[in-house]
Amino acid sequence: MKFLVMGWIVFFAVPVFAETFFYGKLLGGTQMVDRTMNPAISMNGLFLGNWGSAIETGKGIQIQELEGQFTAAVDPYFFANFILSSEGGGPLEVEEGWVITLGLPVVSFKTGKFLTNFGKNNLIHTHAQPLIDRPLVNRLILGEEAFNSVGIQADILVPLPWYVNLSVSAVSAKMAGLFSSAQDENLANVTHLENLWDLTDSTTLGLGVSYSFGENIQAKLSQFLGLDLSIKYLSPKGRGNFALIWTNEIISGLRPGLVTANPNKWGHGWGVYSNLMARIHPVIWIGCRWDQVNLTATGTTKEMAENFVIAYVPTEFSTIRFQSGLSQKPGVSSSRWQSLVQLNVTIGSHPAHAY
Amino acid sequence: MPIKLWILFSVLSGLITRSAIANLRIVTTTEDLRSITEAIGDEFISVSSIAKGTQDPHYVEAKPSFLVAVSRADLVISIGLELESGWLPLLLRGARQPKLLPGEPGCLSVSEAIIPIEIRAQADRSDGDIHPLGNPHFMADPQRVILVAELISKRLSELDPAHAKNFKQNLERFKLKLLNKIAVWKQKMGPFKGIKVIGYHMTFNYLFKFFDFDVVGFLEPKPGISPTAQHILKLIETAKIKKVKIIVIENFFDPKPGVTLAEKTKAKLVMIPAYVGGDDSSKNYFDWMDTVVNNLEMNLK
Repeated sequence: MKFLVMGWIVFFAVPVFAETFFYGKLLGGTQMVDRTMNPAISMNGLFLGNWGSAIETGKGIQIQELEGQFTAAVDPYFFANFILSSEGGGPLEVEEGWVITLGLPVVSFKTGKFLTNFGKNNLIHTHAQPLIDRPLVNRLILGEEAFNSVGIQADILVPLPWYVNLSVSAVSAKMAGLFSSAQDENLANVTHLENLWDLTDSTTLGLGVSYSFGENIQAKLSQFLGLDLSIKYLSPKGRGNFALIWTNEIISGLRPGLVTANPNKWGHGWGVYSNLMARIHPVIWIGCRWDQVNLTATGTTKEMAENFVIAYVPTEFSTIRFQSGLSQKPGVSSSRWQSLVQLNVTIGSHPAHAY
Repeated sequence: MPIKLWILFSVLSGLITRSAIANLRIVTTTEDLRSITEAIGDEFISVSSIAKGTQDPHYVEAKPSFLVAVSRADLVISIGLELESGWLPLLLRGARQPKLLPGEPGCLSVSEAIIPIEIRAQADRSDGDIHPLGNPHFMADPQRVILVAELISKRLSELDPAHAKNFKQNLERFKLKLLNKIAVWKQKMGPFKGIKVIGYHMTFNYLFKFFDFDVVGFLEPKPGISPTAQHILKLIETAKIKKVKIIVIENFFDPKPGVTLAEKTKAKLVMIPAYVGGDDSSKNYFDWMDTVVNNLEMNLK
């Protein structure tokens, strides 16, 4: 028995020692062999303090969101991205988990759970939002979950002299809030056409249109239409020079449960936001956003908000932001206020954000 | 032959002839690479650069117009060593051209040709925005540029074998001119071997090594971190003790920290273009190196 145990130890220990010794010597003590095939791993931490009469739930200091991301090429044909997140320090949830094709010319197919290509803001993760909170129109018309569902998306780079991307998605219509279809197999369609023109070397104009429809809980069609316009100026000189980004979006929606919590009550709403951000110093951004949303059920109500933000961005991996603003809500006679402070940090190898 | 068939035949033969004579379409990530690729490919290629010479190539935005240009390219040439890691992967994936993905003939990282300096076995972001695989600013070393040019010529020949002979001739011409220029630049900088210098970022470390300058510090406290008052105070002491002769700043950075340092010490402030196209006189690689060397010589005399 003793010999058998010793035999097993020698059998396993010698190769492990030999491998550690060999690679350790060869690679200067690093573990490059083990790590080169690992996905790029990153974590984002958003720590928030918020106060004011406009904050209805969750005042005070809190963990806004923790997000872990794993990104890598699967093989020469596919690329994968998995994002797990926890809001408010709660349980981990799959925020996104998708695979995209690499081996096809002109078109790419993405499948899994992903932020569907609808408008501008819907594609931006919480840590990359220009202001700390999302625009009112996204929150009220599209809801907290917005366009984030399981499905398949085709993106076609249209061969024109300027950038034109046509995106067509078929996603599960059981998306919370938006469609809530009773049938598991029902699909919702999301189409987005994005155009971007370089007006000069440093200025880009963007124009997009989005449309989505799908069967809802009443077995009728819910519909959403979006238009976006953006102008981005980035100084072509050096690092961290002046930049100006102006983003505008209009979204209209028709769905049950839009105005009231009653899922059987149809509601129509539309809203708009205009967001201006400027980098005035290599490490300082300032910005403001104006929001308006009109909701119609039995009568029309209007909700508005005005916010400004200042952000200190010492590196790509950390940001401290202060946001303050006023909002006007139906049934509340005076303006309500909010102030938010956020620390946003990233560790690890976080993939670059899209333009 | 029926007229419709004749038209179809003409169109198809036109397309085939067009594709046969079409130049290689090349996109480079930097102006330095564009200049060298242009010298080798000459009339048989069309080439454009993503980053301008006035830009810091670490922080280029992946503009959709770049994506369109990349999608139409036969070859994308990059520096590598993670210089473009913040934006090039987005363009390569977004272009939806499998032939341009890493590992394919249409994707060339010229860092394959050289052995970099400043490789770090251990990397930590508390050290700033560092490149663990080595310093990616090797285009400021003309000796390494010869190796880069050879690699580019080889890849052009693989993609367009019909013009391989032309690429080889152009490469030889480029190398001969560069070797002659290296002799001139070395001669000009010869009297200043061992001088003490302070940089801004690590952009010119290869250049300083090439001319045997002694780098005693940087205006950035750590790579990618903007200069701080406390750090400048420390540098003033260092510059005085070590008798620093010049402070070299890339011309796209804010000169103020360098001006302060120069005022408090006996060092001269030199603003030089960091890349080809970084100023009006730096149209190609030779012009750029001439500008850099002349600027240094003028301020060191």
